[in-house]
Amino acid sequence: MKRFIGIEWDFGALKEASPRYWLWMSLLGVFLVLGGVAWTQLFLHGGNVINMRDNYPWGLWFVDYMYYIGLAAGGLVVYASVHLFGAKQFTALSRIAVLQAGVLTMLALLGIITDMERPWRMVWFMLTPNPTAPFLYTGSAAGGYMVLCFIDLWVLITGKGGEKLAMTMTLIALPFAIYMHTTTAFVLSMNKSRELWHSAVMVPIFLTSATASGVALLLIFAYIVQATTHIKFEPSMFRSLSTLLATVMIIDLFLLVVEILSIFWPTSSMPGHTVRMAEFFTGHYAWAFLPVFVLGFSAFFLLSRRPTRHLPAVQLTAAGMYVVAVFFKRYSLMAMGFSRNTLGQLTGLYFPSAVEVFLALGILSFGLILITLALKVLPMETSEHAHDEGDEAGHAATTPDAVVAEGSAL
Amino acid sequence: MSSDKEPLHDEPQALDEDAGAVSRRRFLKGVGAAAGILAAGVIPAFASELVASPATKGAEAAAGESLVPGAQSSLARITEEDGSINYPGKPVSYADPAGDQKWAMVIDVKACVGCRKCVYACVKENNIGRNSGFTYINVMEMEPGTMELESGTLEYPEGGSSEKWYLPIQCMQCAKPSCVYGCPVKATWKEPDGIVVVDYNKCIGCRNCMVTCPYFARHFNWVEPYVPKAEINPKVPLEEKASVVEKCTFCVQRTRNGGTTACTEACPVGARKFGDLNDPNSEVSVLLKTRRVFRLKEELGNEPMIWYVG
Amino acid sequence: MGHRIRAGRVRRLLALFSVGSAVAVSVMLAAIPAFAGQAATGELFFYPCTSCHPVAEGAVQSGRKLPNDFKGHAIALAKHDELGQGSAACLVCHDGPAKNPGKLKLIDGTLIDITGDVSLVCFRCHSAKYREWKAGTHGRRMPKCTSAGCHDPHTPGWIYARPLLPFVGGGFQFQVLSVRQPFMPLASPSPAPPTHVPTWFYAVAALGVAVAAGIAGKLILGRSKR
Repeated sequence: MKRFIGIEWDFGALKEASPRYWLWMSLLGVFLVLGGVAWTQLFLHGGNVINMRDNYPWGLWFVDYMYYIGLAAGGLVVYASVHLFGAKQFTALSRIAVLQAGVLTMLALLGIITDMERPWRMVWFMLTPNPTAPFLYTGSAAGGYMVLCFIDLWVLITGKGGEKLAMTMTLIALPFAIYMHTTTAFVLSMNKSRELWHSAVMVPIFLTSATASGVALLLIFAYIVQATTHIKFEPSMFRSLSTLLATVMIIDLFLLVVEILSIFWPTSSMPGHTVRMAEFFTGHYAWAFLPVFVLGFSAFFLLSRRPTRHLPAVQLTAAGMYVVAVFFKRYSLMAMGFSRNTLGQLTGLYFPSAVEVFLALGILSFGLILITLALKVLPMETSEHAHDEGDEAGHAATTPDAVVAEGSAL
Repeated sequence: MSSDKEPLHDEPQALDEDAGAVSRRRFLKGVGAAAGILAAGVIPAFASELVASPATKGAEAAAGESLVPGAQSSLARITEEDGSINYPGKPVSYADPAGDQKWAMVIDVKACVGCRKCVYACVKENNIGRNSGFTYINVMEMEPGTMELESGTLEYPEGGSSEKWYLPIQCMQCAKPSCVYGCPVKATWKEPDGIVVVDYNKCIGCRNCMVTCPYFARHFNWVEPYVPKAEINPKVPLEEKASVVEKCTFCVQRTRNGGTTACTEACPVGARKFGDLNDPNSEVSVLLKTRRVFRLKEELGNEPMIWYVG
Repeated sequence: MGHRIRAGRVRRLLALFSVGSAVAVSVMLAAIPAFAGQAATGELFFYPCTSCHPVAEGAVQSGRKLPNDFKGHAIALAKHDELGQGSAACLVCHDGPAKNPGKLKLIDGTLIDITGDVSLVCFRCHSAKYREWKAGTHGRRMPKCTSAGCHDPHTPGWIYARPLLPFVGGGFQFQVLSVRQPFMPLASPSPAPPTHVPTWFYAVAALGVAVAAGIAGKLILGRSKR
């Protein structure tokens, strides 16, 4: 056990980890290696190995960027509500939520970096930034947010600064998360050349999708943590979480319906928009767009049935469906900008190439490796009074019997 | 109600009671601060709109005057306001703008027969990769009776058709180019003589400009551009263009040295007129004053510098 | 003596008559609203465009009734009639034919007399032709583009046709082929470059997925044992 930057890093726990733990890590490792191979291919051969072309200049990496940013900020809403709205039942999730947020934002940024064929040119972002470019704001917001999340995690673990600092961090982090989402939505909505994106409702849709998918992922993550480590949560916490999820979910679905209604209603329909949107119900992207409705409404239905909504299986299924639904939503959202190019011509179906798919999987597994390591090495359990423990924070997970319990649980 | 100036108590209990009141106020302050940050971020975008509001000026000009003698005002407005989006980027290496020019083009869609000679001349002149899959100029074959781009096609076969009309589209060198506003690193900017250029050494390849351009004018070199050795134009870069965005530059290597664009020269029917808006006797100025012209996607407000007449 | 006196008188009368008639004619001409510039018609022939494309000579081609019953305006009215409805077509070149047909409008709005350089009026629409004429590649009795029968100067996009009749009246006489071959546009530009994922990558990826599936299977199945 080493003490570094005020945290007790429990590398010993890794030594005592069960074979299953390492099996899981090697599974992730396989995809990480494949992702690395894919990245070198992209580096060496550039556009030859990817399916993006002039007609659809943004592909899977951008879908993943929007998706991970959404998941990241969503989880933070839960953590922030602890301090801002006094939602004490979520206190136990604090560190997990912040860890999830930080790692996912890192994955989003990795998506951008791996897409750039000359990543070292990122330095121009700092040297000659353009204040009218939404892309600059979203990139810098994501970078800042990632740093903020990791600092927040450190504050939570070490307990330095106590409740006051934790509160301040929340007050910075939550508006920052909203800012990050708004600017990501602006990258899409502030394009007068792309009809289906050029809508003010993009920002609220992003915010609600992000919160819903982030909360859903947090729910799943909490269940996994509960199943695989010694950390235990109250069932009431899961009920609160799924209620929150259901609320945000229905707002998200409502905004989507509002958008579609506005596009097709006779007094507001414009041919450019209706032509493009109709293709998403019947054209070659329907496989991505229709599941959003099917999975989304089914998930809400599952979570709204009083007799069954407290069951972990139901909650997990609903959350899993929604996480997948939002991925499809992001995919079809990207396709909505590119299904017809700016000269009104139909572009072909974009499906990522093998290199793109494995690169994305590699990035995802990198994130999962970090989280899996963190669950072992970092003290992730938050007790009610964790912020009062000061220097003693984080030792709850590292007592020998806890380690043994972890090993057997895993 | 505890005031904000009092330090927070350390006892958890007192904190629980006051948490609601104090945190709400502080939350609102936080939101206000965030809103301030956001506003600070978007003010530069609005500043250019507030300082010179061409929308209102344009409306006045359109309402009162016709396009004949007093029409200097609408052209003058364009030529005075644009050209100021010149960032401190790497200067274009061919030549500095010779004088006070503002390049523009007028394309006669009645004369255009869709022969694509301009497309090929441009490809040869500008070292566009023969394998790159794009050309700076895209000629749309349009159905008579409509301006709807969705009903047109880029893929008409050799031979064309006498029943359709043809609309060549390329970079419009807009006065308010959305690509320039959207580039996060200022790798593209508008030169004083109106040409929007790209610095191939700075472009990070994010392709945001391609997303914001309404005219499909910007192209990314997905593959390394290949030009047969015998056809390379030494005046135009080739290797630097791999993995960056390129676009029509009104043949800056020719027009800055007194020539005209390759497409204007290649057109066999004289459908293209290239010239200087600041010169009242140039063909484009004359045509804009005396003919009924239109611009593509004018409602988007990019103020393109290519007019169509027909 | 009477002979000389009579000659002197005749001479004086003649002089008086010529001066008087000159005055009278001038007054008459000045008084007539100068439409179609009858007095100036002769001069138009010397102006460049009109040397092949006479403007005010020959029979009226269209059924249009011209003001003051002028019959000499033959500037392919059938084509130029398309410039506008009714008298709007006339107004494209003329500044008020009924009241001031002697003035023609130039591109920048200034007015010139019909005795002026009428080619500048043609320049309003046919700027390319004017430029080419100035450069020597159009007209000037040079059959550069037309004798080979390759180029139709009036619908230049169409080749393999003999040029058409320009206007009624002087100038070249051309023949029209019965069938006009359209100009052949070049082929569509190249499509987007194809994607080439190397085959070995697929093999490696398949192997990796198989290994991953195996590990996943072991993880899931291992769990159910307990």
